[in-house]
Amino acid sequence: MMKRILGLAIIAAFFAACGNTAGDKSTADEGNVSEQVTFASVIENPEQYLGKEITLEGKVVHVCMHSGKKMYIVGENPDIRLFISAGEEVPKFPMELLGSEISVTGVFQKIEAGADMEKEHEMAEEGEACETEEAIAQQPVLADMMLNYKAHSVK
Amino acid sequence: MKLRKLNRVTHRDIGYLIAGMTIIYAVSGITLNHKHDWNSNYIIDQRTFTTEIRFSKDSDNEEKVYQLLEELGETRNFKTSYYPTGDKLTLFLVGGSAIVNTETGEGYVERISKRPLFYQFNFLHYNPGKWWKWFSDIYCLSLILVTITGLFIVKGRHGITRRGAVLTVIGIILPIIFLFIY
Repeated sequence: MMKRILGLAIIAAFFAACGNTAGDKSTADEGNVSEQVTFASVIENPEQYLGKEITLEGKVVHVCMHSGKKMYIVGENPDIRLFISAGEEVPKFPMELLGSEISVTGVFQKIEAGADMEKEHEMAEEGEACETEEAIAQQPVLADMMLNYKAHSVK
Repeated sequence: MKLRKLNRVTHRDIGYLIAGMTIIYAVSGITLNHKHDWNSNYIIDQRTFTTEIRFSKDSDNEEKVYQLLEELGETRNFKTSYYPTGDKLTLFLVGGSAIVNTETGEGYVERISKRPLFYQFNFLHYNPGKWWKWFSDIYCLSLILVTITGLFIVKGRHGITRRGAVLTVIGIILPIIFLFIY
């Protein structure tokens, strides 16, 4: 009996260890139509894309080490970062994405006042508010914008 | 079935069902409480270095990056580099990164790997998806049920009317005291 219980526990642990992360998710929602845009065009005219589902390419330069629910990407200009929020419907972003060129799809939107405060609070708690958050505050554009994540693929 | 027996059976069986979940939430709860002191998600192995190579925004740094990677023995792991305004150049590596201060030449290589078990526990604790959210809601309701039924398991002087009442009240007063302290 004990052997059976132990066997079941090992199988359960194995499945837990294979936790499905966003890193495994490599396709966009096939049914949804998203507009393919360049990072540069989003920087040039962010208002144009507000509320739209867009797909853009960029380099992952920061992944939240604790919650894994946040990451930042850049385009050609390394000083303009875009905040990607996983939200509660999506598993965490894996650290393996750091430095990867990805194509990411999501709804482009303004960071709401409440969400912004929550983000700052979370980052401060994590002790990494710091550089990334400070750098973003200095950005001339996209400082108050985010992409509500839907899917991504690593290039 | 008598009410007391129903209470005991409910407490026992739901208690068995949620034992695993309780361990997951309790262990990850402790580690998340202490996340400033200890990274329970990742094992971070860090080694420092100093380089004579100097990077600047004006020059093409690609050759220098490869020189540095050679020095660090990380050429094969190189993914890409990131050099925003400031004095910090990051080289992203497979399984980690190298960060160098371009003014002083001081830096460190950081290797990151998932901490077994704790990573998975925290992964679940942070609500990985909507199904888990509902599942954990059911768990929380079950925990409330187990707690309430637990109050009425024992009869007599150790039960809820005497010793049990005193201990339960203490358990309620303690968090209230913290509310006043903070």
